[in-house]
Amino acid sequence: MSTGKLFMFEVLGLPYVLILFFLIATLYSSVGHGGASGYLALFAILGVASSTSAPAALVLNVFVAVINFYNYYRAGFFPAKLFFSFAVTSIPSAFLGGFVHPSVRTYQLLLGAALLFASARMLIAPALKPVGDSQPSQYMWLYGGLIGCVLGFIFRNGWHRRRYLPESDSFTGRLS
Amino acid sequence: MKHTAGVSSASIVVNSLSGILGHVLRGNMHLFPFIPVIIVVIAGGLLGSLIGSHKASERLLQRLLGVVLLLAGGKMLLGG
Repeated sequence: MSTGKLFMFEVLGLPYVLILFFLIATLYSSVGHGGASGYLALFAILGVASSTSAPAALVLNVFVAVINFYNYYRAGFFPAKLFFSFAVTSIPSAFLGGFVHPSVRTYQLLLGAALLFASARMLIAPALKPVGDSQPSQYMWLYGGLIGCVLGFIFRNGWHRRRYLPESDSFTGRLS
Repeated sequence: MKHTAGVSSASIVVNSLSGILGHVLRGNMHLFPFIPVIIVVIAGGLLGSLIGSHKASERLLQRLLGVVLLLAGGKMLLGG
């Protein structure tokens, strides 16, 4: 672990680290996300080994996503017809997408560009119309297939090929 | 945006579970040291999803999502 990362952890201390995790979870869950990319970024800053941080971030992601789903479902914001219209093709496509193995840098550039494009759409575009009970597009199966491919690509590559993350167990040692 | 959040949370659960299964099958799942983090993340998830599903406006959620995606995308482009 680099001196800079060690310094950052020593300066922050455990209570502040936990507050940062709390803030990430709050921000991401307010928009229905689990927060995996935020946790991974924080783990990387703290110098947690990638072999430890990847599965941990995934578990944190699921905990938050389950809570999100429960609260949004209870509040009436889960259009099941829309979900199943693309889930049918996205799940098998996710499996296939995992067979594409680019370099780590190519993976980062592709995913980063896609996220920034989506971000620009959210920040610049006028207010999106609520989908509500409207009929899903007839092309949802196609969108689902594409989304599934991308997800498989991200999960199989993103979670297993993060070799560039620093390797250290100091953070987990401090927690236990 | 609230419907989008509901659908995306369901998708995240389904896809993340398959990823977790892969790690469990390889015996690469050691969560005990992360229990304090899990507890605060659950608390943050409860607060955020309650705000998102009940209090926040559609427009605010759209802007928040834009910021979250900007952070995640910037992190990727800068090298993770």
